[in-house]
Amino acid sequence: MLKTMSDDHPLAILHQDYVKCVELTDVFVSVIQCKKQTASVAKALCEDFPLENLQHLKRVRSCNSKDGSLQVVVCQGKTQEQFDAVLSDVKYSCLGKPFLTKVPKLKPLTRKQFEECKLYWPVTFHENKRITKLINLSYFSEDEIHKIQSHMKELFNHKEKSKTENAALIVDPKVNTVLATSCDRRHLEHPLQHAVMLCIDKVARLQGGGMWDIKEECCILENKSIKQLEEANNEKPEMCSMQSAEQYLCTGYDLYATTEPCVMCAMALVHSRIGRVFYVFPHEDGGLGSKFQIHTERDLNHNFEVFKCALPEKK
Amino acid sequence: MRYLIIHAVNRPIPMRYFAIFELDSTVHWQNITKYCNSERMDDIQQNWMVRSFNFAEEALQAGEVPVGCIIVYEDKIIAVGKNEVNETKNATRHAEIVAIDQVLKWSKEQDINSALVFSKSVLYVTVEPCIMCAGALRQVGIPLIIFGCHNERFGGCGSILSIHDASLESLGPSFQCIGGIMKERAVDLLKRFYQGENPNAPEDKRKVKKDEQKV
Ligand SMILES: [Zn+2]
Ligand SMILES: [Zn+2]
Repeated sequence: MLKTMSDDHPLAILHQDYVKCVELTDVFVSVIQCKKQTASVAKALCEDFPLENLQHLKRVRSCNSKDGSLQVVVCQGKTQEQFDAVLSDVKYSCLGKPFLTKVPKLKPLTRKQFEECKLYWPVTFHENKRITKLINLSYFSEDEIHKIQSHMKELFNHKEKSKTENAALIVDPKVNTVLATSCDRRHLEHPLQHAVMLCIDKVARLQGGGMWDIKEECCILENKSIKQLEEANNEKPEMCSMQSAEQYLCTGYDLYATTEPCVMCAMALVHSRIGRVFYVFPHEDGGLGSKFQIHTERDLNHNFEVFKCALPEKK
Repeated sequence: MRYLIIHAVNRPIPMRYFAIFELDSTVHWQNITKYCNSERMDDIQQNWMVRSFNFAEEALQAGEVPVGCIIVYEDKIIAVGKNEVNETKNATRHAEIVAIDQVLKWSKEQDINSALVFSKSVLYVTVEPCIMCAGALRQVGIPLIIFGCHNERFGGCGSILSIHDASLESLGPSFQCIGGIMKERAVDLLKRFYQGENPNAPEDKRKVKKDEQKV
């Protein structure tokens, strides 16, 4: 079967707000019986009843009916007694009796939400180009997709060689170099030695730190990486962050994991200021999409991009 | 599985006994929590918490975020920990992770099953465990955590997320938390740290926390 580029494009795991369906709320709406007064009535209503949390709503809409009558949002969250007093003013004499109408509660964040909102009431929409590209699977260039796929392939080779359930790999995308690889050791002797935790620690070791001293049988790639890194450093030293004092933890690095990281590992990646995460298999209790979306948690001091990738093809 | 902490009042003060018994499911946890929060329990919890603060102070001296902890098993401290993030250049080296490593080492030396040790231990930590540590504590199966102040920035036991009792079967059993023990002292330590700032973090990563509750 012929494959298109979007088939290979990693799928972004976005904040729930970008994915959810449109929520509705009630507002009072009136028919404008004298079209000439539309502008002045709308202006007066904006002053008397500002729409506070509903700024995304257009104040006036034209109805689908044949006469093309106009409707205006009168107010939200007021009782009939409250608005009746104001509407008794002569400037509102052209308004019909207000009635409740369902309108979108939140501003649309995606084109899909925008289209859905419009079914209820016209709204304004400021498109975020980055989000649109992520949703349309046009965020990465072909070259970037190729790099991501090759790192994923390397990770799965590593996983198969080490015969473990999970494996992880950290890359410096600025020089396209693997800095560390690891495989899960939680069933061996240490319940916390998940592949991600081990990989983070290997980066710490490269920076002259580290907390676990593990003599792994699956470290072959590490030596290769250091060589790669030295080569990259010679070629374009200004790009190689590893040696520079500027490098802080895993800032700007990419993590590749076979399985979605658990909540412990997900938060370890927040603490480590990881740049992006790519994984293949979701996990029902996972912390980056399935059970929690820790990478999009707005209360935390660091957020990052997470992508679900296709299983690499075997040679 | 639920556990009860028993305070044996017949012992003299310095020898206060702290043990954990398995309960059958007919006992309501609410009553136990009430018991744990009684004045007598406060005394015991403070005794152990004072020991945790020694390590939080050590962390502060070393220029680390001042969080300290101890793990108590059968009335003795088998592991201690303080934050060692800057020392190890590993942002996951929190006090709780250090202490868990020590319990694993201790169990090996004593030739006891570490899972059994964890299942009968209590962790005393000066600040609410973060989301990562809460996940780690579930995986080793510690049933009870006593902490000082809340962790408004990273807390995993109610402040940001509730990892301690979320439905996460694959991670391990949920655990009980008692917070607020000596919280003023914990907040004061953090305040002293954030006034001095973390010298290893680059400029833009430093966030002066005006809210004293923030870690
Ligand atoms: Zn994990
Ligand atoms: Zn922690």
